[in-house]
Amino acid sequence: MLKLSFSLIFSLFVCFTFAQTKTFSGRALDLSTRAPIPEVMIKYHNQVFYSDKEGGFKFEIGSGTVEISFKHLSYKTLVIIVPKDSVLKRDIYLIPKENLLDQVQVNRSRNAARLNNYELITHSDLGKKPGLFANPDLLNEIKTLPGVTNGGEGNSGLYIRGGSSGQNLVLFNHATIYNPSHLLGFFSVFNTSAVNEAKVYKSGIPAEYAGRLAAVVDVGSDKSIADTLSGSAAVSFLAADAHLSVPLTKRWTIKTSLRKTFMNYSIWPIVNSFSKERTSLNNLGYDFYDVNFSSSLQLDTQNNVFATFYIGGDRFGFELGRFGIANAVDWRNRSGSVEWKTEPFKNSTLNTTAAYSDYRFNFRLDQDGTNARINSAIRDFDLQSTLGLTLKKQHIKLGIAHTSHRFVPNTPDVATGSVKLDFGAANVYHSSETALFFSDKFDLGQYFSFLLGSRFTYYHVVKQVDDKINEPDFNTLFWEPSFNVQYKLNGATDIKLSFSRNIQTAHLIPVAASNFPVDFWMPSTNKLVPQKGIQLSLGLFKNWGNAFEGYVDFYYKRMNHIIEFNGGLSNLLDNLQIEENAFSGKGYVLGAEFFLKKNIGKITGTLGYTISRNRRSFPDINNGTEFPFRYDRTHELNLSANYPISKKWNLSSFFTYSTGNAYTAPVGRYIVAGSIINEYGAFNGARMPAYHRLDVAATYQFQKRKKYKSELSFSVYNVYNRKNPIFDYFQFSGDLKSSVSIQKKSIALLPVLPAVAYKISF
Amino acid sequence: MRKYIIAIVLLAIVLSCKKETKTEGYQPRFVVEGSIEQDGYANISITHNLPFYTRLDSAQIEEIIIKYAKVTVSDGLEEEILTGSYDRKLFPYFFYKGSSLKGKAGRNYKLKIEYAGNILTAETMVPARKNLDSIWFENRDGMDRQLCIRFTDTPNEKNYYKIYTRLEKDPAFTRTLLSNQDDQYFDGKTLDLKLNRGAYNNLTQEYDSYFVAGDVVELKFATLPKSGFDFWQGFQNELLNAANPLMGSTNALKSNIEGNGIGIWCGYGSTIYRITAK
Repeated sequence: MLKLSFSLIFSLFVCFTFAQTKTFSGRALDLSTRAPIPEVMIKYHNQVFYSDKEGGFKFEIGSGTVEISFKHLSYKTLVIIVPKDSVLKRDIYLIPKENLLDQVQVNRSRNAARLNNYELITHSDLGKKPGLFANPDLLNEIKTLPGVTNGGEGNSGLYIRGGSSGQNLVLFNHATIYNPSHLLGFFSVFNTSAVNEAKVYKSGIPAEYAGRLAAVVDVGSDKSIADTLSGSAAVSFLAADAHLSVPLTKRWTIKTSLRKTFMNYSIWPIVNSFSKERTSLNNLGYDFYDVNFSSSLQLDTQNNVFATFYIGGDRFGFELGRFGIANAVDWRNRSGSVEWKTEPFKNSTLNTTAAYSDYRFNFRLDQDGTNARINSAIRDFDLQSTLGLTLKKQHIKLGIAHTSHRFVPNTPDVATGSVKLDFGAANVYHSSETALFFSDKFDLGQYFSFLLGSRFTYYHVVKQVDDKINEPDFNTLFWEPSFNVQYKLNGATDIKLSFSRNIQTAHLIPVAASNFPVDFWMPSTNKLVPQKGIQLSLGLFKNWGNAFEGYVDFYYKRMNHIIEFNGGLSNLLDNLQIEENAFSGKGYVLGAEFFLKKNIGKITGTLGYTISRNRRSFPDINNGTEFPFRYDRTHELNLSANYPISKKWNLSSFFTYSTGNAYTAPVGRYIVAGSIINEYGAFNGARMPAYHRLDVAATYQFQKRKKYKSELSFSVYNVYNRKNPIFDYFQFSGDLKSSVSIQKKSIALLPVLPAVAYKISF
Repeated sequence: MRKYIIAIVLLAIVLSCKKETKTEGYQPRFVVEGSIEQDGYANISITHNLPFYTRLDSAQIEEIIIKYAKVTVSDGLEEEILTGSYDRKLFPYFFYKGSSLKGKAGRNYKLKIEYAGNILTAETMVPARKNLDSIWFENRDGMDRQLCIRFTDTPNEKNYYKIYTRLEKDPAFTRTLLSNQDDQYFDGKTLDLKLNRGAYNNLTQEYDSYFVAGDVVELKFATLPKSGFDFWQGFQNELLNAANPLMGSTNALKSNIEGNGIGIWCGYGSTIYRITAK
């Protein structure tokens, strides 16, 4: 197979060498912001092209005088005449349409243009649905897509097409974000004002992305050069948020976004006042902050440097009053990247990025005189260079990437009284991935378009013991092919087929018994080999003019060497070697996604439904019999609607329904030492109740002032006060000599929550 | 295409009307709780488990106590058939007691239970007892006093410890809140522990972590083998964490009973101290 791919690369190079033609090229830019405009529809004769994500375009034109039109829904159509012998490389400036409210329509009919079925979410899409506490959020927006589900209340993990949250590659300006969520699904680490667009690949993952079994979420900040100072600020019951964009020179802009919650002063005292009794959780507390910074520098017309950094931290804690136990988890993401984009020669782009990512997770348990901690950390350095070549009828990408990771999966630290328990040296692993990748996008005839990709990776891991690096613990070479084909049935209908094989070397250990996301990452070793998966998806995509668009997409996924950890956090406290306690098994997911979007009329909105079956089998769990994945969702339904009442008032609503999580329930009881002990049944053998919720929001736009505009939003989260339990437990009371009663206790976190937010921008 | 969508939606509705499967998998089993102390006699209680949703009242509880089993303990040389005994202050009030075969440090003891065609067996070892270095109370708010102990672990030797307390008036010892210790992480060190009292059982939520000045307290400091430590550690995990959404607990206790039973047959080397809280 390896040989075949190399010969394929070679034959494509041959194509490239012989393709010598005259081309018309340039970039489509926004006249006011100078920002590149992707997916501008460019018409020349009977041919249609689209500008790429950097606004770039390149195509063949005839030798005489020609007419070319540039069309985009948010911009006025521009028609240019290119006289014979004129300059063939130029930038095209498009004038934005006055009514920016129509920006949401940017997305319209894009689906058909995209060869592989990724979902694009732009900055303007955010805020069209009611956010919690009137805060629009990228991850919450992603969770409304078909095939994407949340983990239930209190769990902000992303579960895409049946994968676990650790099977997504989440990139923020090229740096890996290991935990993209701030807890409880309130917010993601992506501050809306720092997000320009996000691409969500659910299938046919392109070769330039390192292997993950489920999906890729590639989030980018705004790279445009600003010409005026601008900013915005928002304050709500929960958080304050500010964004500033400063043009330092005509070619250099810096941007920053700051966000800080103060829930420990607003919402939690209220919540805690309802849980005074000793039988529930007490003194809940949670807050986070994050800071984004970016610098966009245009060196000359062919060289751009874009640099970013992100830092964010969270702390969540509660007490169990009756045991005098205090629990807390805190985590921190730090990332930074520098991207240099240049044009080394005609018809080419070279993108080189250096990225850094550092993630730390700490768990604490304090009980009178005993203080236990588990720390976990990962640090990555990443270097990637991609050469893009635009040829007559194909677009080729060639790249090289190297990532080095340092994992410290779980370092316990326990002090009891004055004695610090001796756990020996921490387990430290160093791993690296060196990859070569290649992709080719081309048309075959009038109806078929292809995107083929290949990624070859050499993986290597060593374990560090007492500052000494051991001999290679494990190394392997693997191949990740991807294949996408699009068949245009007619102008409005496409059939898309995609296949990809992915291999994942970093494992997120799922702590089965815990109901909050706890993150312990482990590299692949000889005992915990890389996860492998293939996915096949077939979909029908259709537009009904500009009025409706919809799709049906079927998928099948098979996974090997995936991991379950059948234990609680206490097992991680005294079990130093995660790999000794993690189980390895296999699984499959079968599903169908249905999506319909209405773009016209007073009420616009989307409807998404997914039906799926997600099963696992592990030789060491349930005696090898099949069991549902914890986040198996037989049904998942999302409905959102938007209704502008007037020019000033806008109403929006969002409803979501999904099958409840699978969990391991007690099936029997017995008595030991006078206490009642549960006997647990089949792993993930029971179901939590279905999760459903309705949110509504109303936004009022104040009269636009000369220098600023402002809006006031009202929102209600969980309108009908649905108690979506995250956790059930059983409480016994009474006396064994007379009778014992059992109460089922459910912990639900978020009741109906109204909120008001005020936002000002200049 | 439209027809197809309608069909799929209908299918989905039908599927969603499907009854949720109830938790199944209950298997009747015997539950054994047995001990043999250094210089003490064997003591065994036998009950059986119940399906999760069974009503638990005095009649039901009466029914789960096994009173007519043949219980034999042997050390390979000697063998003793235990005799049934009652103590209405305890649960279970019926247990099997030895009177001739005493536990000796370092020796292995086999347990055999025969009942209605079932045979359960287990084996344990009685570890040598260990003394505390010191025991004292520390003042807390008002009249509250916290019991503290100091002991020195024997270096290069695998040791497990379990700590219990009782007030003079209590019928039995109760394990402390975090009562199990594994010397894996403090081998050969001197350890100070500030003890919190444990609840008598998990049927009551109200209990005091501290003693009160004037209380006459007995403290039992026991050594035990790994099988016993593993079982009681699982027991403690279930009690403390089953209701903690962050920690959670879904694991079965690590039993050392062979046959259709669960539970523990464990040897202990106990030292009992008596101290008055001042």
